[in-house]
Amino acid sequence: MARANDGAGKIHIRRGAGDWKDIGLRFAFGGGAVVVCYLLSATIFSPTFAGIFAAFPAVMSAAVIITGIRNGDKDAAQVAQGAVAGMVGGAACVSAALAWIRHGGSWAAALGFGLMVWFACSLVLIRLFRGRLERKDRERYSSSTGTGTW
Amino acid sequence: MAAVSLSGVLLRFLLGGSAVAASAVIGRALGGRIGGVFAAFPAVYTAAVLSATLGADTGKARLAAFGVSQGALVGMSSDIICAVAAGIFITRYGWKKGLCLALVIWFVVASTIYLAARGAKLV
Repeated sequence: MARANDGAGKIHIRRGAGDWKDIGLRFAFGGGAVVVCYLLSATIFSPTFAGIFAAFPAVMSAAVIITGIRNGDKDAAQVAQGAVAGMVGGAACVSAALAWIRHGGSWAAALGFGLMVWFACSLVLIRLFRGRLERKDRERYSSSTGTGTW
Repeated sequence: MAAVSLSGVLLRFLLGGSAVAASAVIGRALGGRIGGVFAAFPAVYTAAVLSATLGADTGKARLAAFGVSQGALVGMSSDIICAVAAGIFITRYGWKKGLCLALVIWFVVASTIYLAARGAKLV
């Protein structure tokens, strides 16, 4: 993938065939992970375990695994750190949807409102903490050669 | 055991796959952490709401969406703790060991919260 600044401040990304294959692989891996969790939670004998497993962070896990395999530990860590903001946004999303339904709104509007709250909340949080996380990155990666091994 | 529907499988595949793909695309353009936000897109929650409500009449759909949302709120608290743990442990031990440790923590926290919520009749 080539990334170029056109001088007017706009970033253009040209994708090669390899990039589309990579995106397709990530799509299939992520979708497959969520489906496997759905099938497991629907077919697990114990209702208690099924209930616990229904909240399994399948998308985050899939994103971390595929990023770790393709890009290494540093990028995988950043995905997980960003996911914290996204998960807090997710809790805000569900709370907003619940409030909307409680006040007599339709489920579709509640879902739409909730997803807008997710987006706004997550971006605000990541912007708030990005500076601190980037400072930690500079301290860590300027002096070390790696982030640890299995 | 709950029923498995083809629409449920398709919704989850599309939404889950889109979230992971979007995480990668946005991460490359704007940085890994912004991409990570999209890795936490509430794909499973959205798919669960859509599965429970599409085709149902208005009243039942609202009730179903409310029930799914209540359960999801209980689950999301353990997901936040998992993501925090993953961010810390992956940095310290690498992505394989770090993610495994984070998921062990998720299981312990999720089980505790779920059993407590069930005891309090919240789920």
